[in-house]
Amino acid sequence: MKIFINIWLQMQQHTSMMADAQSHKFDAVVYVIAVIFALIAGFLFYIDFKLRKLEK
Amino acid sequence: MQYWWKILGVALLFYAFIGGLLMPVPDLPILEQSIRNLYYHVPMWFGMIFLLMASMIGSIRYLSSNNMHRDLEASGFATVAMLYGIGGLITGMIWAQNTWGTPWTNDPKLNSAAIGMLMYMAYLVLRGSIEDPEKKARISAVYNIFCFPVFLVLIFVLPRLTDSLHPGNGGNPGFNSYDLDNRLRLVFYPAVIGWSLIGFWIANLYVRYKKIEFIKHNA
Repeated sequence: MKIFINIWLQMQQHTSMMADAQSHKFDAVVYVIAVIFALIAGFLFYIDFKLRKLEK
Repeated sequence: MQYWWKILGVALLFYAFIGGLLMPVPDLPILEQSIRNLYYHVPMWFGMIFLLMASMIGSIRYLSSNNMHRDLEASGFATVAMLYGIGGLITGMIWAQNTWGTPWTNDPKLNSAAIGMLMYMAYLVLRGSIEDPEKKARISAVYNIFCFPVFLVLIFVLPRLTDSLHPGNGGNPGFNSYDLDNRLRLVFYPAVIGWSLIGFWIANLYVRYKKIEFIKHNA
């Protein structure tokens, strides 16, 4: 019985570790998306400044 | 001062990206976590409709003033609106795949949206097929003014007259009555404003570039 409880506890621990790792992975993906968006926004500002110069 | 709305658009969309993926959402049957697509799919369609409205206003202003710059505005807004439309279709197809089990169904709203998009694609093709700039501007402006109300009927009126899988159509309850709780509103409304502002900014850049090209060409 004790062996089964140990296996069960280990499995629980493993599952929570997996969920934690997946959650960190998801957070990382979100921040990568945010960085890509920040780069796109920076590019738009760059074009805006360039056009402003051309318009003068 | 002229940059405040652009910075606001970037900030709101940044919030929509991070908050939309990380903030808590209601646990809804079938929709589950895919409800987060509400922050991307629906605001893109909102943005597209605002841009198409601006395009129609540009066409009306062209016909009343004969100023070619107004025509460039109309075509620029319609072009960016089509980009938003394609984004809306792609996000909608991903959502449909995860909730309805197929990316495209015989839903009246989907078919109407496809017809509406084709009408505006035809507007862009029409512009490309006429060489004389004045003629191009006048004919496409008249077409554009007719297109917008027909597009609204296709998107908002026809799907409500028949059975539809979309919320708020064909007798279905809208998002507002059941699903759109305050946690969703916290991101949804800023996302609508953010996507619309960014759409107008991209269109603004495109139109300004076209105007510079036009002035150079006619100098």
